Amino acid sequence: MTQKKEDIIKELIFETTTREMLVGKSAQVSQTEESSETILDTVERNSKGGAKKHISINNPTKTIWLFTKVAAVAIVILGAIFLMKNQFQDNSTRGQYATSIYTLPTVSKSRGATIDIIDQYINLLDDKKYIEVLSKLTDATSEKDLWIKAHLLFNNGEYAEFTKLVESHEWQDEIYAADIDWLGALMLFRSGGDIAEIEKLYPGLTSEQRRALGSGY
Amino acid sequence: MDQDEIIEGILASSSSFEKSVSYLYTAPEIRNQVIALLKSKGLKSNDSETLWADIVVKFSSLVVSGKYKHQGKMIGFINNLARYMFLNHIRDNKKYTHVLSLDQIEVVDSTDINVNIYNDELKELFSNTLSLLGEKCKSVLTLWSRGYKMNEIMKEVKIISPEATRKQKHSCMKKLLSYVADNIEFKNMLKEFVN
Repeated sequence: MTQKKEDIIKELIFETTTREMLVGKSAQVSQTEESSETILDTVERNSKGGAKKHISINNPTKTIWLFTKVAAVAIVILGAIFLMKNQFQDNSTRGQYATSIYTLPTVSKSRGATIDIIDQYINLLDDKKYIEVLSKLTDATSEKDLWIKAHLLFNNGEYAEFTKLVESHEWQDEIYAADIDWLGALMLFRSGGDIAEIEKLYPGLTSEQRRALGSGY
Repeated sequence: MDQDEIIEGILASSSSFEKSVSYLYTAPEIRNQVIALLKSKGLKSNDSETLWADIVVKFSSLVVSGKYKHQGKMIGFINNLARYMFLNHIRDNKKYTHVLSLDQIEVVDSTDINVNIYNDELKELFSNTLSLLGEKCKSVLTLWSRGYKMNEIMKEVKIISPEATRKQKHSCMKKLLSYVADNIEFKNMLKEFVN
């Protein structure tokens, strides 16, 4: 194989696996719990196998050895699960804090000639039927509808959709723009951004918002 | 994480590599700027997102292969890379490969490197081929592609010795190349880069 061909294959391996890592990361996190259950099932099955051998072998030294092996495997697996949980703990703690300082805004009916979709569903918002309201805002185009939709997505933890929506719209209304910046700051906080970084990127945050974020460190 | 930490992380161990690349991919101050640039050139939102992932992957690849000389501002280089990859993205439907020199566009850090941009069809074919290998083979080749030394791969994948790791890498590569050779379409696409 020529060096050039090897370099290209190497580059393709790198790009393919890195891309898979980037794109599949969120899916992997959500599957962690499920995988842990599968691993525990395997341990349980192995333990049962160990017990069977105990009966057939009838040799105390071998039996102790078998159980020691099963126990060691279980400890290693439980250790791995513990480490994996710790790995995500920082972000989940931040996530919890971000959720605690976030409040969904109160929405009132539009005044004047403008009629927004959300006006018809304020009662659903009051009843906290957020998913139902989100389903009504599929075709939202007005800035007010998009603004509340962004909030509902954020509130619902649909961060990928939230980011997509926020990035696809140029906010004209200063109040909405400032509010969306606050949500962006919360997103950056969740993903591990430090306060200096957040303040640099969102210089328009109010002192109250800065204080709230600052207390989370 | 500042730009030095990102670069160091990409060049470092497995966990730092993944953390740094993921950070680069999600950091709003970089991501938003590049996506805004792509959108300003008329790219749709979904295409911009997809291209952004490709840009991060390509940038990481340039860092690992030593083709990115970390001298100026990383964001400037990434923006130029984005413009370059955008042009390729536009041309992509016509031809499989576009090997252009970075000096054909405005470049911040390095002007004498060639960047291979692989089109979606080739990438998909390669991904399918790679998935035919076992997990262990894939891990060995992944770490090797990230510039790991044999004893580092040995520790990560838990192989008995560096020599056994070398043999394992050799046999995995052989297996991968045999799959490539069996796929005429893929083989032909690859020729365009080799020649």
